[in-house]
Amino acid sequence: MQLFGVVFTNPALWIGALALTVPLIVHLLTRRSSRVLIFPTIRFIRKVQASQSAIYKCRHLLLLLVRTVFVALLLLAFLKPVIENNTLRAGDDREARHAVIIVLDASASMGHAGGGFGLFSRAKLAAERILDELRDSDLANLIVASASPSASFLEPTANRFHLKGDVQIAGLTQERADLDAALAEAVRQLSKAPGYRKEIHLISDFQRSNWAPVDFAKVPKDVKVVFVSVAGSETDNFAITEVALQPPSPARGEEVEVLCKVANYGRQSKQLPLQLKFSDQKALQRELDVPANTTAATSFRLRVNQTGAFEGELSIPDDALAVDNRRFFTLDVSDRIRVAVLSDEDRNDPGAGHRFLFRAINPNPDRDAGGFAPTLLSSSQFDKFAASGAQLVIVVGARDFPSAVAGNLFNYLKEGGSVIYLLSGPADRANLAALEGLAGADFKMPFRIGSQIDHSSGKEGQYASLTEANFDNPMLKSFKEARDLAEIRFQKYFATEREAGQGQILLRYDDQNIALARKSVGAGSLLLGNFSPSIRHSDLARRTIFVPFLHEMIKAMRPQSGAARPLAVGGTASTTIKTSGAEKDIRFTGPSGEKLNAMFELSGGEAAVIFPQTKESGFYRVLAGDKRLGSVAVNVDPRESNLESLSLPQVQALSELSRDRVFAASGVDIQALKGLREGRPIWHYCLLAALCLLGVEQMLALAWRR
Amino acid sequence: MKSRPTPPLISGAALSDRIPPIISRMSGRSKAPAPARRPPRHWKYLQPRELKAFKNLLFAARIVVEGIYSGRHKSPYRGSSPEFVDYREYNPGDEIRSIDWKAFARTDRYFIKLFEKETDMNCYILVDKSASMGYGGPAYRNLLPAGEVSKLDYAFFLTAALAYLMVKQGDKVSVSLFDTKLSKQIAPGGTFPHLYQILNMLERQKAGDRTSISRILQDAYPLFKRRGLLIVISDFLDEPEEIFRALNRYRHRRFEILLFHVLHEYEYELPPLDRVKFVDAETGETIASRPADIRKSYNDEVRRFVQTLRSYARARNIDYNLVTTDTPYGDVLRKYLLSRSSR
Repeated sequence: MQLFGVVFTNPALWIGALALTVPLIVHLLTRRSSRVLIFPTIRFIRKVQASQSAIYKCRHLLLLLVRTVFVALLLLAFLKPVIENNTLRAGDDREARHAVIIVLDASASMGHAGGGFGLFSRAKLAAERILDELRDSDLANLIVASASPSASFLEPTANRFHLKGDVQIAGLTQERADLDAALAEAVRQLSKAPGYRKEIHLISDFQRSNWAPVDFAKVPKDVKVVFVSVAGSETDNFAITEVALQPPSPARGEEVEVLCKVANYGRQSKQLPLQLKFSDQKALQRELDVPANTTAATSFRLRVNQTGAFEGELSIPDDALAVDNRRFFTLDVSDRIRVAVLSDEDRNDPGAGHRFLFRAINPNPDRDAGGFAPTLLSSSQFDKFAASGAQLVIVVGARDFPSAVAGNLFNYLKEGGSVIYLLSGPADRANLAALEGLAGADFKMPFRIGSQIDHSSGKEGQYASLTEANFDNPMLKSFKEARDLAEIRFQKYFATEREAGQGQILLRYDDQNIALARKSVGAGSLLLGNFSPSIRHSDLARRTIFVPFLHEMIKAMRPQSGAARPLAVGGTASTTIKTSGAEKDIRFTGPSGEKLNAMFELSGGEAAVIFPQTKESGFYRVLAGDKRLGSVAVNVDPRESNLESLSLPQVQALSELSRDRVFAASGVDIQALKGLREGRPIWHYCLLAALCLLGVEQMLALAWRR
Repeated sequence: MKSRPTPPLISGAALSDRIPPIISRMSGRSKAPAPARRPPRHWKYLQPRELKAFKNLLFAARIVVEGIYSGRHKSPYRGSSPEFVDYREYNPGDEIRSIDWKAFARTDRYFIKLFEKETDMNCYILVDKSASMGYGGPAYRNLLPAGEVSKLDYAFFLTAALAYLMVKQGDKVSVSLFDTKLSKQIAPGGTFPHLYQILNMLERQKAGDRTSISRILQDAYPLFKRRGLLIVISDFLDEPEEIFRALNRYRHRRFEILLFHVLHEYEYELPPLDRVKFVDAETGETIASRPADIRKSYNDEVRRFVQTLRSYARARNIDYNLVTTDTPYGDVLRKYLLSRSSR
C-alpha cells in the first residue's frame, strides 16, 4: 500500500489502527470517573480553576495528542514504511520488471588511489551492489567504458552470476573513455528489452574533462539515468602533460631541446625532481617548482651525434595516479634534413624551377651531415611513406593534384608537417582549392588567386619587385639591412586578393599583390609563395640571395614542436621504419615486452606499421631479431590527469535530462544505492520518534505535576 | 511577680478525682465548701491526660475585666471591700495568706477566699458548627487516615479545654454554637457543673448547615452583657472584611478577642487525588477538578486567605491562631498560652 510516496511493507498490521482510539478512550473515561468529595468550601477551587481552566484544558489536550501520536508512531513502525519517492521503483506496480545497463568507467583517471582505496575498486563494488538489488525478473548488462566500450553480453540478461564475475574481473585501463560510445551502446542494448522499465547506471568519477562534452540527448525519454559517483575528495595530482622536441627531426650533431610541461592539479605548490632518460645516456635530473593549479615548463638540451631512432622517457615521482607521471617520446636523428620537392615540371627543362630549387636546397651535396637532403618527387609520388620521410615539402610547378595526393598533403600538414607552396601555374588554383575543401568550410587561404600577371609579355624591362616586407618575422629578419630582396625582379606571378584575418602576409609586390604569406593548417604550417624560382618567372634563382632566402624559409618552416600529434593510449599507433631487408624476422612488442599483432605495409625499403590497439603507455617496438627497427611512443591522454570532477547536481544539470528521469547516488554509500532502488526504510525513525514522544509525555506530566 | 512558697503538690490524678464542689455565692456567709459531685469518668472532649497537661496553665486576661467576684483579674472598680464572697481552689501563685486553713482542715484541700476586690473574667466562646466544620473524621475514613478528627471535633476539643481552663481559674465561661443562627448557648458560669453542662452539650452536637460568621457575630453581640474575652473558633469561610467589621463592635466595647482558625490539613493543602468531584459542604455546589493540576495554585490561594485574616487581626490587635487538625490541640493551646503569658 502506498501513501504520499511511502510504501508500507507490512500492510496486514493496519488493523492496529484501532489502537489509536485507546488514548482517547482513556482520556474520556478518566474525565467521567471522578470520586465525589464533600469539601468545606469550593470557593478557592472555583477561583483557581476559573483562572487556569484554559491552561489545563490545553495541557490535557496536548497530552492526549502526544499519546495518540505515540501510538500512531508505534503503529507506523510496525507497518515498516519505506519512502519510495524518488526511487527507481517509484510508481511501479509490484510486478514491474527492470532492464538495467551498468556503464563502468574504466578510464585512466579511475586509477586514482587517493585515500588508499582506488576509485575503480569502489566503482566495481557499487556495480556489484546494483546487481544485488535487482530482482530475479530483472535484466542487466555491463559495459566497461574505455576507448572502445565493450559489453559483457550482446543484450541484457538475467544471468546475474556471470555479470558479477565480469564486474570482478573488469580491469582498469590507461585509456580515455569514449563515453558517448558507451552511452550509445547502453541505449542500443536497452532497445532489446521491450516491456521493461529501462535504466542506465553510470558509475564514474565524473571527471569534468570527460563528462562535460557527453551528449545525453540520445537517451530515450523512457530511460532513467542514474549517476553513481565514486569520486574522492582528494583530487590532487601531478602529471607530465606534454613533451615536445625542437626540432622534432634533427640532423646528426644538431642540438635538440626537449621541452617538458608538468601540471600541478593540487592546492599546494611543490618542488618536483624531473628526470630525463634518453637512450643509453646518463639520466638528467632537474628540480622543478610547480605552483598550485598551474603547469610549469622546463627543457633539457641534447646533442645526438649518431643517426637512428632513439627512445626517451621523462618521469616524476609517483603519486596517487602513477600512469601520468611518466611520458615517452621517440627521436629520429638523420644525417640530413629531408626535404621533399614535389614538382611536375619537365625534368629536362633547364629553366624549370625545381632544378634551381633542388640546387639551392643543398648547395654542397658532398657534405655528409648537417645539410638538407632534398628528394625530387612528382606530385603523384607523394604518398604516406614520402610524407613520413620528409621534414619539409616544397611544391613548385605542380599539376592538378589527384585527390589522394591532395589528401596526403593535407594530412601531412594537419599532423604537423610544413609545406612551402610556390605558385607557378594554373593548376595551383585548383590545388589550393582542393586543400581548402579538405580543411573544411571555415578554412581559407591567406589570399585568393586571380589571373596571372605576366610582365614578360609587356614592355622590355617591366617587372615587379618586392616593396613591403614584414622584417619582424624571423624568416625575413636577416634581410632587413641588406635590402637584397628589393633587387629581385619578378615577371610572372598571380594577382591576389587578401582574405581578411587569414594567415600572415610577409611580402608584397610594388603593385600591392601578395608575394609571400603563411597560414597554419591543423598542427602544420603552409607558406604560400606567389613566385617561382623558374627563370621564366623571376630572376630569383640568379640572385645570390636565393640560397640564403630559401634556407631561411626552410629553417623557419621546420616544425618547431612535434612533427606528429601525440599518440594516446587506446588509439592506434603508427610509425614508418626502414626495414633494411629484414622483413622476414620482424616482430612487434608492447611496452611490457609482450608480443603484439600489428599491421605492416611494405613499400620499397620502408614499411608503415600500425598497432591497432594500444592498451598501455610506453614504447611499441618493431624488432627484427634483437635489433630495434623502430618504435612509437604512446602516452596517457593528458586530459585524464586533471581529476577535477563534476558534482552530481552539476552532471545532472549538464545532462539536461528531466528531473523525473534522473537519479544520483554516491557510490561510496552502499545504503544510498540500496535506497535508490528499494526506497529508504524509516521504521526505525518512527520508533525513535515514538520513544522521544514518550519522554516528552513523561516530562510534561512531571513538570505540570510540580 | 513576687515568689511565693510553693504549696504542696497535688497530683493530677488527685486533682481530677477531687474537682471541688460548686461553691455557691452567698453574701456575708462563709460556708465550708461542700464535697464535689463526681463527674462521669470520661468526657469525649476533655480527657484526663489533657487535664493533667493543663493543670499549670493560666489564662490571664489582658484587659480590664468587669467581674463580680474577686478573682485574679484586675477590676475596674476601686476601693476595698474585703467582704468575703466565695471560695475558690488554690492555684500556684496565689497568696499563701489567702489560703483558708480551716477549709483545708476540713477538706484536706487548699482553698482561698474570694473577696469583692478581686474579680472574675467572662469568657465567651463562639464555636462554628456549620456544615463546613464537619470535614474530616470517621465519615472520611475512606479518604483520610485512621484516627483523623473532624474540624468540628477539633473545635470542640479546643472549646472544652478552654472552658476547663476558665473554670479552673475561677473565671466564667459561656459557650455558644452557631451555624445558620446561634443554635445553642450556655450562659456564663464558673463552676464545674457548669463545665459539665458545656461538655454534655458539646457531645450531643453534629455539624449543621451553612453559616455567615459576620452575621452571627452581630447577632451575638447584644447577648454578651459584660465585656470579657471573646474566643471565636471557626474556619472563617466568609469575607474577612465582613468578619472584622462585625468584630469591631466588640473591640469598641473593649473585648479581648481571640480567633482560632481551624482548618483541616487537606483543606490547607489539597489531598493528592486524581480526578475529584468536589461538593461544597454548605451550598451543595459541585465542581470537578484534578487536585494534582490545581494543587499549587489552590494552596497559594488558601495561604493568601489566611494571610489576609492574619493581617486584619494584627491590625486590630486581635490574637489570631491558625490551627490545622493534624496538630494536637493541647500543643496549640499550650503554645498559645505560653506566648500570651510572656507578652
